[in-house]
Amino acid sequence: MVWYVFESFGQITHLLGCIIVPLSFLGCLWTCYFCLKRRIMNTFLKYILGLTLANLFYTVANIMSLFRTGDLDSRCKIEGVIRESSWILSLIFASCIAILCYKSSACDGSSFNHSRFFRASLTVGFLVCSVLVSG
Amino acid sequence: MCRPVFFSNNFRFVSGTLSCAISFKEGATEAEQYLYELVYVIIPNGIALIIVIFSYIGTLCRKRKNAEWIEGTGVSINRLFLYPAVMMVEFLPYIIGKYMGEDGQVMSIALTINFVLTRSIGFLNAIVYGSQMKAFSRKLEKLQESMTNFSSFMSEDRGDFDEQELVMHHKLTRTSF
Repeated sequence: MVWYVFESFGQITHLLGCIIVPLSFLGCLWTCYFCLKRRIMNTFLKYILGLTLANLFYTVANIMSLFRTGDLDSRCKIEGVIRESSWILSLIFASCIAILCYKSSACDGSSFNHSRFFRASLTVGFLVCSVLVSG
Repeated sequence: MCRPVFFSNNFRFVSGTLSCAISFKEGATEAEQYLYELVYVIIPNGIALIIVIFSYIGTLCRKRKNAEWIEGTGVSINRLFLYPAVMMVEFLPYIIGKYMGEDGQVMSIALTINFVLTRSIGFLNAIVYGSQMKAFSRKLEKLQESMTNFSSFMSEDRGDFDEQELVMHHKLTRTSF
């Protein structure tokens, strides 16, 4: 997503970003740590970890946007790729969590293959990302 | 060969102020701008929004029917739904600002909220995960209590097994998220 109307808010948003983005980065690291700390990892936890990792990359892109030094063009391409792909992956993982909640609420939920669904969603996610970001 | 705009890999640093993202070329026609909006904003976010809303409605309907069974699985669906909800709430101000905010001030405020929410995405998810952990540790305490009660119950060598207690124990031992 691109923000055009923010030019007048440049200073404020930059200041806000400087406060929020590090907090977000720490939050992602904290969630990742506690997800990986668990011995048993069910499909829900895998999705939460996937979502957190995608958010972590999105936060990395946000951190990159706070510092504008060096070769802007190549740095911008890297940031753009990270931002778009992590946002799309976040959307896919969030949708998958919603679908999994729906499937888990059925009495015959045992017939639903969680690991297969996870693999399929990962494949679809990376395919969609590569199609949208490639050029 | 002329490639479609969304495959043109046209990254640019937007107005030199905020962030780099895929955007349409300088001097793109209105149709190209619309195509960009459709492929990169409306379709991915729209599909995700529809999936989340329908899944949530479906889950709510099923929850009424299978409340006992869901409780037995130990899956806290209400809390799990917070992850997609956070994602969708982040996107809502963008829709309001972009498509409903004809007034420039409304648009600016909506997009500022969107900016703050998307930047704090990891922090918000950490809050959701933290609340889940708290609920999980509460369940774990219950489980430990139940295990203690169950072992004392078994050691009493009672012939008349209370089926309800066994069912409760089974439910608690299956507790996961």
